Amino acid sequence: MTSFNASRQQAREFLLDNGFPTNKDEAWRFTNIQPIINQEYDYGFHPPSNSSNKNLLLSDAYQINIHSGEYNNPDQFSEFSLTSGCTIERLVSSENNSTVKALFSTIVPAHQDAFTALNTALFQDGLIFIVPDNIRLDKPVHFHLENEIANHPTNLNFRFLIILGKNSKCTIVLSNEGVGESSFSNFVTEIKLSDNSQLDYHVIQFGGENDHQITNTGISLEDNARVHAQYFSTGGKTIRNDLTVNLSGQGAECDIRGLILGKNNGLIDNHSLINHIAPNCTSNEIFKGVLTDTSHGVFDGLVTVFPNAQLTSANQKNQTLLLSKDATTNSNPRLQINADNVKCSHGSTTGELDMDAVFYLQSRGISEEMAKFMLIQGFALEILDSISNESVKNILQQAIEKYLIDIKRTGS
Amino acid sequence: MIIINNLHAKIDGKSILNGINLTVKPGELHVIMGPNGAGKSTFANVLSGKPGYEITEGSVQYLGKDLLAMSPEVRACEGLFLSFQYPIAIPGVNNMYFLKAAMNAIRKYRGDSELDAMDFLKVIREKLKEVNLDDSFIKRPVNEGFSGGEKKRNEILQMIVLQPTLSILDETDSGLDIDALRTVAEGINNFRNSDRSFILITHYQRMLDYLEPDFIHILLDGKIVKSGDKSLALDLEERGYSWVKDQSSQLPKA
Ligand SMILES: Nc1ncnc2c1ncn2[C@@H]1O[C@H](COP(=O)(O)OP(=O)(O)OP(=O)(O)O)[C@@H](O)[C@H]1O
Ligand SMILES: [Mg+2]
Repeated sequence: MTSFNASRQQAREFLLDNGFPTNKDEAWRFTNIQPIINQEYDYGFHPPSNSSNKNLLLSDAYQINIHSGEYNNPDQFSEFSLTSGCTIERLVSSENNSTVKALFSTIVPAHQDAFTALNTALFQDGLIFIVPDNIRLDKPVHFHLENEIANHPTNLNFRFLIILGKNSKCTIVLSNEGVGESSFSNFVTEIKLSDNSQLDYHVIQFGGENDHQITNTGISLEDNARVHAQYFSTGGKTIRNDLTVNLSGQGAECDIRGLILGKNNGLIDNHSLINHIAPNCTSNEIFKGVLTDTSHGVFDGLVTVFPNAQLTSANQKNQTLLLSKDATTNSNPRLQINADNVKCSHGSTTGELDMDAVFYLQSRGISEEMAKFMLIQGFALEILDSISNESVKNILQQAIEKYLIDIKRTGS
Repeated sequence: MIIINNLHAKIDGKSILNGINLTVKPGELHVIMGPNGAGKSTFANVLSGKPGYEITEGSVQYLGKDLLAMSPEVRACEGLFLSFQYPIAIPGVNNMYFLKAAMNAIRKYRGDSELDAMDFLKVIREKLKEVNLDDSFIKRPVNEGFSGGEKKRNEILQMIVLQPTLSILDETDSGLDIDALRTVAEGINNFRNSDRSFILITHYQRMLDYLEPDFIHILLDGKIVKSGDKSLALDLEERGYSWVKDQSSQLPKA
């Protein structure tokens, strides 16, 4: 492959040639990025803070804090490698690593879009994480970024390159908690899943009032590999996630779930592309949204079945619950089928709280307020059903509860 | 227990209840029968406080208080219970969580201490047997994917768990198989005592074979046009409603 410098240079040229998207670009129709790009940033990391927020501490996990520079601690990595049998290294010092050489910028190519290009041109660092063949990690690996309050808005471009070897298994949590002053984090994550490997991948985004989070993720699956990817996003000014899943090996499976909890005037936008390239693959995708105040949710999902991909099974669903008159949603589930022996379905529903259900609960003595709480909670919790790690599940359950208490307090 | 006086109600501008008078004393079981669309469910809904109805005339005294001034949840806490004709499913909220929340809301209202999970489980296990539902039902979302008969048994389960003073059962017998009908009737019979009252809405005589109703009322066009003892139900079974309609059309308009 080309050197990092050459990749950076190409990405910079792409960005200069094409510029940032506007709302005339189909994929950015509903996503106003002006507040992100019309802003001057410091580049880099915020200093570690003592008042670190403990919302996102998983019990019993390998935790690597990106914000405080712990990722930059070789001792921690070697200790981790010893106990787990896996490898973790800084990306900037792994340019000559053969895996990096083979895969860097191939799963999520720089020219995919402006923000991937921006990341590729400017990434401050990243991590490469390799789970060797036959290693099955019992504890989750948790990468955590916390955006502290700083005097200046900060832009962090960070990357992950994750490889699961054959028959390996692992849970990865990537969390991003913004509390900052118009901070802007821009992540690119490239994931390769070898034959028969199995990944549980969680993206947890707690946006601060004014912060922007963009992620671009590519997951490439070989024969019989499986991924369960779960996005959880709440708060923030702008959260935009792009996910591409390539089911390239026979019998591969993906289960993609997302929950967005919007409030204030935040925008949470999930775009996904699921490509059924090989035959016999299964994809299930469900995104749910709860929106209040003047928040805005976007779901855009395209499932493409390639001509060879016979015996594909694909389901795609988007459900949104609007809790206020001024909350809005745009839902665009799409299927493109180019093979004949397939089973596919997709659908989208948007609605308000079912007042008959509220009455049903009230008729049993439950207050109207509590009834609404229970119904929204029930709607949201369904998305967590299939999470196998209890500690991750707990954190998300608490986050849902916190959101519900917050919106109750503000009276929406 | 409850004194309903000249109750009139409209929905979307249309009059559905046109002057209902009914008094139920402690321990009594009243049956309301009447053709489709007569206003039976509307009557039940209005008593339990479902929003959307406009009460244009009349009053309801329940245990000496003005029922119509209470919110639905306060009515429930005061011991009123409605078994719905069409119980709705509530995806995502499991039956156990729901029942525990309901039971504790009512206990709290009455100044009793809340039950913890263990005590609650004990209560619920025992009651499940009474309505012949197995334990798996309390782990499922409320009514989600329940068969018609299972939904009705789940309503009765809620009744015997929440221990209301006045139970309004809207066609709880519809959709039950022969054995379930007997189970539900036995559940109601076991639950009956001299303090608890019932208003049972039904189309059929069947369930009445198991229960000893004190009164049968016929509701027609939003009014009770005829009342009698349990032999009235047998007459209806045989002759339908046409003779009642003929009689009532000869009555002077109220
Ligand atoms: N929103 C509405 N607007 C107009 N009419 C309504 C509305 N809701 C109910 N109704 C009418 O009120 C009448 C009474 O309905 P209700 O459900 O009380 O009947 P019912 O006696 O319970 O009948 P069934 O035996 O079929 O259960 C019906 O004619 C129904 O169509
Ligand atoms: Mg009815």
